[in-house]
Amino acid sequence: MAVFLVVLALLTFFSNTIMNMTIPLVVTGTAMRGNLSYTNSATGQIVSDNQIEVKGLEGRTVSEVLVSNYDMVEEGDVLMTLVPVEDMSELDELENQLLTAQRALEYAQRTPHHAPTYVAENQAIRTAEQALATAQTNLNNATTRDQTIAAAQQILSANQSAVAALQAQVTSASASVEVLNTQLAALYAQLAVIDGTATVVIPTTVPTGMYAARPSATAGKFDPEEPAPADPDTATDPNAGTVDPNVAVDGDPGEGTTTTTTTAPTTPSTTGTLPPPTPTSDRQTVVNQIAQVQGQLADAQNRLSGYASQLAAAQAAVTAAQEVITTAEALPSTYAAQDAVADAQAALSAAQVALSDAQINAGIAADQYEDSIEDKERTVADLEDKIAKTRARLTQTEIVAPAAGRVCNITVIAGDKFQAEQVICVVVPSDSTYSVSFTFDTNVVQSYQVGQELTANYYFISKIVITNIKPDPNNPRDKRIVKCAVYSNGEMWPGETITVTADKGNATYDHVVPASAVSEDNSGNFVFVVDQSSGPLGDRYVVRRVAVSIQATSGSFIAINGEGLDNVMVVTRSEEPLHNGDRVRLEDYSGNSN
Amino acid sequence: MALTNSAKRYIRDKIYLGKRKVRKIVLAAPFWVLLIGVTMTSLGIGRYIYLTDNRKDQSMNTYWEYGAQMPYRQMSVYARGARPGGPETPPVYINNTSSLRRSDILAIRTALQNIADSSMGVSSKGGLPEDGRPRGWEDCYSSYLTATITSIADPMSRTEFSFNSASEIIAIDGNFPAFHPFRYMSGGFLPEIAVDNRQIVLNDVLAWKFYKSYDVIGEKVSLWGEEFTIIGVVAEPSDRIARDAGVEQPRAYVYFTAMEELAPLTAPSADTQQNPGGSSSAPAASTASASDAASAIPGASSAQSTRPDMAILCYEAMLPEAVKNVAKNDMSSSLTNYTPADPNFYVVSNTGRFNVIDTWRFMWPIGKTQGRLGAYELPFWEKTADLTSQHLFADEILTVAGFVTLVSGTIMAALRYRKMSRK
Repeated sequence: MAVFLVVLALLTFFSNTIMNMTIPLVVTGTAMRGNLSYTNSATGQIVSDNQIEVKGLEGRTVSEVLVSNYDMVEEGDVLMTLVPVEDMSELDELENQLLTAQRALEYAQRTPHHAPTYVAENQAIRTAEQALATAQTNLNNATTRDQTIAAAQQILSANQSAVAALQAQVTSASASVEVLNTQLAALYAQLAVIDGTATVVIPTTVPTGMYAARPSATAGKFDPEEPAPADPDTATDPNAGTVDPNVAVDGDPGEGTTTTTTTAPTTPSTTGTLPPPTPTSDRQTVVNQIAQVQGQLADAQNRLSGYASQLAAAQAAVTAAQEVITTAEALPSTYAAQDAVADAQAALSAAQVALSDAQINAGIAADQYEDSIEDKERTVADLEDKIAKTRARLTQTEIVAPAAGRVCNITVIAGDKFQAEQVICVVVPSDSTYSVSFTFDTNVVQSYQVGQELTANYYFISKIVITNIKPDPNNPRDKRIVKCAVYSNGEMWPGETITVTADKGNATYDHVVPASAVSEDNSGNFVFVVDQSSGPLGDRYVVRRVAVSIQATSGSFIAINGEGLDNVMVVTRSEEPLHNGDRVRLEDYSGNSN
Repeated sequence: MALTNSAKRYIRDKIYLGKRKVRKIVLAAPFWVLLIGVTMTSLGIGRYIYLTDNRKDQSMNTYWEYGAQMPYRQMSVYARGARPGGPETPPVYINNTSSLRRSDILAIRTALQNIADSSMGVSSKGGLPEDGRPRGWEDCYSSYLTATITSIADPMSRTEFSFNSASEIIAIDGNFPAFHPFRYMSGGFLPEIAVDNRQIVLNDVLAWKFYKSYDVIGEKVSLWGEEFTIIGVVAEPSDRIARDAGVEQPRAYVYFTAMEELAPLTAPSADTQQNPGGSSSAPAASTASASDAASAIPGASSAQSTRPDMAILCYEAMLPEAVKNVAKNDMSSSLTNYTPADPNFYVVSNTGRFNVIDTWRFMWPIGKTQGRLGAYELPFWEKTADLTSQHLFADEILTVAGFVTLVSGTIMAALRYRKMSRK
């Protein structure tokens, strides 16, 4: 029993001791509001102002690097050798592609390509324009159809009565001419009888047509040199078939008469019987009568001609009026004509659009053709360029220095394969100048000016002079990029970082902790805060990681910003590094620890 | 006669008793063997756990990789340098086959950044970001020398008297605390982006020596003729092995650029040592002497340079490792002129260096690695790690021996049990 108790006591003692040994001891504090003196400093990379980049050949493998960083080289010095390329299939493939592209270009250039004439489209437009004109004319006619018909009917009605009257007059005049011709024939017969000449054949009728009935003036004219005709006075009985020149033939209004009275003409007597022979005095009378009848005949013929002309004109007017009426009656309605005009306009627009489309399409086709040619030419040029580069890339066995200077930033080693556009090193000429850019807060830079010197504690730097101040593109309101020229006592290495101090200041921050409280890991800066929980076995303290950002530091103290930092226990010291969630013991300043 | 007989009887009895005791012991041997085996094995394993747990600076990747999508590996590279004036002068660059200088660090960083970007699938234009700091990984570098630090007396403060101390100076750059988990006694460590080039961190030994206190933030000390402001006091791991490695000695941490700028290239004179603080002539003298010495020192950059390039003795990096062990190759490949067959740099993977296989590789053949390391000036943390490896090697032998003993005891016990069963 005693042994058991001893063992139990020992185990109890050692368990507590072992537990305490395994739990790290920490010291905590509170992130307090405080004033922090700080130094405005910034870090930047030294950059050569005129360095020359050396790029690798994509896909090639480094055989040997013959220089190391910061070696001095002359232009043309071999920097590294490359593993020869045995597989040239890439070049062959490109050459095949080039051949195909060249053929495609040649075929495209030989392919006929003419500008279109648009004949069909223009013809369609003209047809549509004509149709539109016709439709518009029809519309105009349709709009005035009623008036046209009315006017034509008026003409028609006016001329139809005139035609009838004129026809009667023509008939009457023809009859008069016929009578007079008969009389004249009779007189000639009398005259012939009187003169004892051979019997004269007297025409009993003369043409009475409107135009053909007109007797020949020469044929009917009395010629005094001819044997004396019979005396018209004697040959004509005024009472018995003679023509009284002073009396107009019935129905023939005579000269100067314009009446159109339709009184039925009295057909003159045309017996055809000559008066009995008379003595010489009678001959004269017959001659006179002949002359008188000829005069009357001429008058009658003139009247007949006039009436015939008037009749023709009237008949023409009637015909024209009838045609107008027929045409007008054949016209469509106004609405139909308007629809026709609209259709014609639409057809014209469609034809114009078709022409425009055809022109656009033709333009596009022409552009496509030109583009196609250009594309093919470009493809060929690109392939030729690519082949040249590939050939150089595949056949080149050395990378040489493009200029004299110091080799820096070698990024490859033997066995490395070059990536596309990979900068494998840079060559910095001996006379290169250097600069460095720092990013400061805007308020820090307010007192800066170009030409001002900054402080940098580096043995190799003699002077840093501000050459330019501009807003930081990433944060133009709050940050300024200060570019400086760097002058050295010795040599500088491009890419090396230097820190400059601007000025010192102080400010009050909400959370200031000892610098030992802030740690850093892959995820950034953080502090550990202690979470306390109570249980039957006592208090339990567990650390929790809280990410923070650093606002300022004096070296020994740091102003931090983060969530949940108020009134929490922040671990400021620890026996050993902690993980998130580790159990800890708190330092007991009385000398014991819990 | 009787006396003779009684003596013989006595001796016979003793022999008999002895034989019985021996027989008893022999019969109990399996138990003892088992006990010894268990003890040895437990001791070996326990010490192994204890020692490796004390070397957290060799497994800082487990802290760094918080929130990362891939594991990290902690790597270290040790290089050489020449000390033109003895241990109190800084190491200077020798040549590109065995030394590192700041420009080499720049090349290494560029190469590692490209590798890290590639392994993390980050599209970049190549090289370092504009601030020159690693992105997605971390590094630091350091050199070390001995120097005399003097506390500056200030009647207005607790420092009424001035003290001198020959101390080890660690000149650092980069994120040094990410690789070295100090126990902070007060203040903090040197910020990665320097607030003031003349800031200094003391270790607890030195702070206690000067001030008998660790709360010494803001106090001034003199080093290389310049005033430095104390911003923190740290305590390095101080277990027995660390003490054997020399951890518990006065030590201070300054910026590498401060060492480059101020550290004398010749051994300081006795006058300077006795009166190092507050004298403005001291740094000028140092600089002049450095200039004189520069031409005779290997690694001097050019005729224009007044000082040679300082050698970086230790470069440390925390590298993402998409594929197991690839970070070792990444680190080696980023070193110009490094050939595994003839290594001019000592490249060590801190992560996993204490596993059984790596410990045996480190120790076997015995003396080979230690002999090679003799060419390097190793810092206290690497010395501690090497000593730990040696102890672990011994522990592993102890554990193996214990295990063999345990197996032997088990077999013996089984045989005895079998024998007893037959009886």
